[in-house]
Amino acid sequence: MKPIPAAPLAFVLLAWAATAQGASAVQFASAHPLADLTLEQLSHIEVTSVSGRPQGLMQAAASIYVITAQDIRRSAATSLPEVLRLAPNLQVAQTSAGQWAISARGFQDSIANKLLVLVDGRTVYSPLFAGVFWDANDLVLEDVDRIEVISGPGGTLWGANAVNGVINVVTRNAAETQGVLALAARSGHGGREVVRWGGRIGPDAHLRIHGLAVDRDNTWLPGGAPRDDASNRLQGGFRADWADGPSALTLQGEAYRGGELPSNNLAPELRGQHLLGRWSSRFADGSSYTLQAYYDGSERDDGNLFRNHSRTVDLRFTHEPRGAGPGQLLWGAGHRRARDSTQPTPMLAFLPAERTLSWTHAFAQYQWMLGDQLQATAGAKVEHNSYTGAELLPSVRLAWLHSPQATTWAALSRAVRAPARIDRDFFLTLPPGIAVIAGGPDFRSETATVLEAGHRAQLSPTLSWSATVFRHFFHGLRSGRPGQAPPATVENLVEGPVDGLEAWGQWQPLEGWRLSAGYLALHKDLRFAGGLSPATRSFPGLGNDPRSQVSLRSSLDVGANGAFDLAVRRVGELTDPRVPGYTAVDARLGWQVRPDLRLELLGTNLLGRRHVEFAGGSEIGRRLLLQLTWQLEARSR
Amino acid sequence: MLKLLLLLPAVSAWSQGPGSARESAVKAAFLYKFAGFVEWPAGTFRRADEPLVVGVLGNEAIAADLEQIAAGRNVDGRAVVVRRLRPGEAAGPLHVLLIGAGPDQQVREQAAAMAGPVLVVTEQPQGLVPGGVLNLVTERGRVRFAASLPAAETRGLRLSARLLAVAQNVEGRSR
Repeated sequence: MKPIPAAPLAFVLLAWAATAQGASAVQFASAHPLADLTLEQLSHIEVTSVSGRPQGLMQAAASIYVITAQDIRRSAATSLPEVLRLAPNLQVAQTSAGQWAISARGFQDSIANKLLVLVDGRTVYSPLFAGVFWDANDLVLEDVDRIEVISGPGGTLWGANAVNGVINVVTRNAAETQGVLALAARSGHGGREVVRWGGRIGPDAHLRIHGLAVDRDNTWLPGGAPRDDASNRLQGGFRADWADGPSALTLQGEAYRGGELPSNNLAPELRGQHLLGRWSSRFADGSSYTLQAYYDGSERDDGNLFRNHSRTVDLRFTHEPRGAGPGQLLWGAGHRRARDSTQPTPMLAFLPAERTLSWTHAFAQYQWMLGDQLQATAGAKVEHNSYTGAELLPSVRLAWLHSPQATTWAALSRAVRAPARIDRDFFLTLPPGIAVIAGGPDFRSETATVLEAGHRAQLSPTLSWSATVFRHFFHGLRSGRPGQAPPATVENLVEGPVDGLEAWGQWQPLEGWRLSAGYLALHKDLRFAGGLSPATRSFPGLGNDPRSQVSLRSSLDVGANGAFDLAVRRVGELTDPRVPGYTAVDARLGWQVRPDLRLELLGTNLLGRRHVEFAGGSEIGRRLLLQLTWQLEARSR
Repeated sequence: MLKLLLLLPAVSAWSQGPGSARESAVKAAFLYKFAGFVEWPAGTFRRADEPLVVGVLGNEAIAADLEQIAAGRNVDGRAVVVRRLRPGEAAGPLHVLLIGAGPDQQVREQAAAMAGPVLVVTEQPQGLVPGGVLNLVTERGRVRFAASLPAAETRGLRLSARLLAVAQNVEGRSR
């Protein structure tokens, strides 16, 4: 019955995460209800270190924000990307009904490639472009336990692609989702339905089965004409957890299909399925290990230009040996193999059309105390990929633990984005037969040297804050050669620093009222390397980022059964190409009608004016949903 | 189904405060719960309704939360009495003793000072110390515990299989 993220999450980095919400966590008014829980349930309760020893969170030497199940429930979000808007260290822009441009620390694009996303240990990743097709991924938000959002490099643990951040979605153990849940959210422009059943299938084994249906209406083109991006999605899956003492086995899988016929690139036909098994236990010496394997298959067909089929298998092992010196060692190894085939069309081709890529890695990380207050973590990963061979991803992190309530930290890392199919094998021909892009035979990895420093503090049981400054110095960013006659080849030509600040704070002025605020500032200073075209300062291919972003949230309990939640965000102007800044207000009005019945009114973009969030994107307008949730929870005994 | 419905009020209290609480409150709840999964040697309790005495040394927050939990509740028909202890103080007969976090050496001595069939629970971040039967730790923001079978045996305590199944780590398990 271990929480999921398994050993690779590393004791430091993510152990911390669960308590990240610190003061924000709603506390039981008294200890009484706890006494009625079983031992298993007690082991799953998240604790805030208001008293007792400080743990994990406060000590981690990284910029981590945790979106809790509570945060999700108290938001107006009805999809994973909308939930990600709750993390102040992410940039999230909706580009069409189902597609998004999401990034951390810049390089925001609908094919952004510097952010690694995992759902229950499975990399949600397309080997085509080293990023996420957001429209192909959805999940039952009600089953999410927490989402750990790490901005900054995580390559030492997670490998190439965790250049600017890692998003780790963790769903609840099947033992924690017992009973029945049925939910329907409807609006004039689509909605979402969920059914879930959870039960016990053995003395120490639990199962849940879920079904999810999502439908989205068209969005609008700037100017007001509807855009043909409506789509439907059906998804079903299960998760089974079995626990026996120190051993735990998880099996989970899902299948989905989505899109609408005739399909187009904004609403492609989607199909996919995945199956994952994870075994964690302890060796005879008491040291813990985790073994995980998964299969993931996906198909995407937009009807004209792009038809892709990919299958991935991934195997991973991690181990925390005991007694390896005064500190704690974590090491692991893994292998992933992905085969994809993309049918060439007269305009667009990946050549060869079919290709198998593989990644093999080994890593070790050691954490120890230097004296009473200085905690050091050093580690490195070697990852071998099909295109560039072995890449080294080292990092060193130091945390100065002033007190249980305050930590100052600094980290130095080397991050690498290994080439994807789109960097090496991509050919674009525009009518009447003019080759525009002709692959990137010599494209190497993009690299970054990253320096970060941060401070976080729990000023009182109800007030906490965190701030991080960073500089990523990039080398070999992707670009075509300036002034070159078509076709261009993809090369590593751009370099320069990206600097910024991430800060957030949480305050609970009253028992039933929580406030939080987030701020993001970003400055990119990219140029061609080697004196090429020194005047060029514009790189539209390298993301379109706001210079600042502000978010404010309020969660208010109204009486015993009501809630009013409000979220405001201000996203600054995008410059390359220009998209005006915008302010959006989301709200949720919740009413617990009966213990098993909840009624909610969810509203997004309530200011009423439609806005565009990304260049080439749709106008996003107001959306009001009425959501009804019926839930009968059984207790595991 | 009827049983499910009867459980609802309690369940909704749990489901509405989804999974987050003060560390001391969770630890106190564990202390209260543990007693139901431990068998003391025959003769430890002279009467069927003799109270269960829990001593708390060096953690006022847990003591306060445990007092709240214990009020009006019982374990297997026994009332729960919380006794706040000071270092060096003669404790009198105890069934459960929580020793707050401290240097290993100090905790070891405090555990040794309380010999006999006492369920000694510690909260040492580095793990069990000699003499401690259970050790509470916070792992990934959750309170978990480790158990030592040899320490339980030395003290004449039997830890139930159910308790061991939930333990994150069991020392001295054969196999």
